[in-house]
Amino acid sequence: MENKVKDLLLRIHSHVKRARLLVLLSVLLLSCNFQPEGEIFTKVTPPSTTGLFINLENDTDQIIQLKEKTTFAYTIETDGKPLLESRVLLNGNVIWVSSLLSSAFDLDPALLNSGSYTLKIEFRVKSESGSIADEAGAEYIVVWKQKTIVVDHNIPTTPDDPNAIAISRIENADGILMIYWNQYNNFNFQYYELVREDYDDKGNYISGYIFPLYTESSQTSAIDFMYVGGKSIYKLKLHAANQVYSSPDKEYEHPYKPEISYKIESSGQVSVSWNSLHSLRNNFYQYKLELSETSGWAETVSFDLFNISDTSITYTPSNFKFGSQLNVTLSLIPSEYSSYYKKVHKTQLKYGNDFPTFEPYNFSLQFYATDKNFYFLKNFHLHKTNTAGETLDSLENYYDKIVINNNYLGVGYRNNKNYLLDLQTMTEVEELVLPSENNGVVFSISDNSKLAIEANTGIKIISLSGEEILATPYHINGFAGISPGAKYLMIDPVYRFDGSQYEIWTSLNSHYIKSIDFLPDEPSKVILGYYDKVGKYDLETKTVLLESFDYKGPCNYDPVTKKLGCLTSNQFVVLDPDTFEVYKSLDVDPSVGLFYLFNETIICSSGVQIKLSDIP
Amino acid sequence: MLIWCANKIIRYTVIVLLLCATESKGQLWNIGINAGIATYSYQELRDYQHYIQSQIKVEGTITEDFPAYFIYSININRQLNKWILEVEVGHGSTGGRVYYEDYSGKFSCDQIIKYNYLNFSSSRILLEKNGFMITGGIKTLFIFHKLTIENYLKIGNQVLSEEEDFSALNFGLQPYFKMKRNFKTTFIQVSCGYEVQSKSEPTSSDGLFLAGENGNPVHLQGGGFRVTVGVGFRI
Repeated sequence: MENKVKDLLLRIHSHVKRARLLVLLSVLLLSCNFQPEGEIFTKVTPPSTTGLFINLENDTDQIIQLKEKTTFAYTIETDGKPLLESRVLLNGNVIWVSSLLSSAFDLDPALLNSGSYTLKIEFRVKSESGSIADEAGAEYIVVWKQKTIVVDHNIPTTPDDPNAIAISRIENADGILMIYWNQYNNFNFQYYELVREDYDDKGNYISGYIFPLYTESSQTSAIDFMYVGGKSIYKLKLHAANQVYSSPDKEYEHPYKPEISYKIESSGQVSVSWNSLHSLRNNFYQYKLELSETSGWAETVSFDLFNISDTSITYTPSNFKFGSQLNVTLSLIPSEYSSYYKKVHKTQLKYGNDFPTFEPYNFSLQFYATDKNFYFLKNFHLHKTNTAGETLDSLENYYDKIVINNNYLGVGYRNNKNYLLDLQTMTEVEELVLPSENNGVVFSISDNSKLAIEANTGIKIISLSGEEILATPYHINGFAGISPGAKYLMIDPVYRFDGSQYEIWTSLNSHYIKSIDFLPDEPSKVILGYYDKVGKYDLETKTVLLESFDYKGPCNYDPVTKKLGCLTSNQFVVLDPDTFEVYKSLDVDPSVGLFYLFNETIICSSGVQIKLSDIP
Repeated sequence: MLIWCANKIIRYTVIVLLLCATESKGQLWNIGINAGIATYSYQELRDYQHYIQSQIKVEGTITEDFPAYFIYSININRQLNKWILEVEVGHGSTGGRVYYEDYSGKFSCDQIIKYNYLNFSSSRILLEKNGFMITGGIKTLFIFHKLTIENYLKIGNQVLSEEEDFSALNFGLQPYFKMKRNFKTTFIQVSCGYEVQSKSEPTSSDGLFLAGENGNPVHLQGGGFRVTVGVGFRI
């Protein structure tokens, strides 16, 4: 057995080298495994963009200045290749996706900040190349169009801004009014808005007009075909980037004034004329003159004149007499927009010369021959004017009633109180403290400052200090007054102070009296204007000096002419107070107010006067 | 896993046998190493290639379809009068490829087959004269298949690849003839035969199978000719 083992070991030892070789060879062969090979490149034509286009509507500029919300429409040419999608990107952000060949998207600058943006419109189509990427859906062709979008929200804020616009000049160019301004150069311009505001001579706003919008920034002038004179303010508003900048106002006033004048012929025909609008002749379309009477039937007569040189008309009013007025409206209708715009000039055509209107009741009109000033209530204020009617002074309390005497003293009644007035200084001197039971209204003041008042218990005469001089049980029934020396109290009946007591004269029927005029140079004589007659009476002797039923009251005595003016029906007659002979007579319209004769002038409370010398 | 372990065991068993099989007398033991070539049918894998070809929308090409390839083996036998008993351990491989490539990318689907086998055979000496011997016999084979599927897709710069291993055990029978010429203690031998195999369904370690058309499993059946040339020595 031991020998067998030794023999085996020897045999193994002899074959070890060959066994190693076999093992190494086996391991080497085992590592030679099959590995698939073969790479065949298939030639496929890569896709191209031939025939692929984006057609952007109104595609003109590479840089698009976006000034308002804009719709961008585009169409896609795919050369028959299936469209996957189209996209719009703004600065890389997708703002629109579509799968249609025609599409549109909006860009609103209001939603963007000022600045520059990259707009990219792109679409993808299947390549249809047949490549493995195409078949895998991973290959497509991208075609794009790129634009630069510029947004600018900056507009001028002050006139100092370099881009600020302003109306540079307004001028009359050959009968047309031209307005010029400087151009706004920024692309965010939207439109100019020109506005005109019309003002009257006193600066009061009348109306406004907005011109058609000017949408071209290069337009720097406009024609105002509507301007036909007067004071106007032009404003130019710049609309840009959805904001508004208003330029400084530009005032323009063409020197044209119509200066409406009139002449009343003896036949009663009225001629009205005015200045021609020749200087703005190309803006002229029509004169339209309207005359309307202020009393009686408010008839309106209209004249349409289309010739710029036709600047007068004649007209015979049906009832145009002293005191009457015609409202005159001259409308200047421009050549454009005549249907609703016109420049209106109004005046009043008066029979006579101007005089301030005054209240035709309570205290109406007083005239002092010494300084030739008038006093009257107008709008409840006491006015002092010269003979031309020009206001010299006023006392602007609200008086219900004022009575004055011939010595520049008066009593004004307001707020249920009586105040003593100094007409020379036009001041309230003091409040008159009357007896408590005499809480009435002073209806007359005598030249020696005695007051006639109507109290609850009757008419009284009191002093300025409130001392009662005479108390009557009568109340005013018709007309009442007190003589300059307070000797005669003209109520119904008449009281005459005879030195110790008052004596009553009952024959004057004072309740029919419409006016009482004491004659300055004859203190006891009075002229009474009745509703049916005029009479002159001597209160001292209680005698009737003169009476005439041809004339009626009310009357007033003019201290300058020493004539008596009486309104008799439709005539104002100027009478000699001693004879009642007619000195002058004038047809009047009694319905328009009260009539007075002062300072050789007939005056009507409607605001007109006429010299006696102007009456034929 | 079991098959993988078996492969390892067979490999190391052969080496031990080579080192230890030296106890016989009269040089009745022969140890040889063989290299040759084998052809393969693998019809279902070929069908699988066509199936892959039809599934990709591009015109892929089958560049390899399980061609004949080298096989290697080590055998040890003992002559008992006119009979020879033999144990053989061998290894073979082959594979297939479906391939497409253009400018935009490429696709390849590789089917790599490696297998080891264990053969127990017996043969009879048909002729023996002047150190030249012709024998004929039949091999009984246990074939341990390993099928690796490697799919690769590249589109642009994007790459997608996957790899899965499947294993299967086949049984085979191979009638063969062997010619041998002895030189003192060494010899050369040439063997040729035709192998038939049973059909097996390869599965992955996760229990997956390789699905072909209509989701049917693909079977392995790699029969074909086997021709080897070997050298050895007698102990």
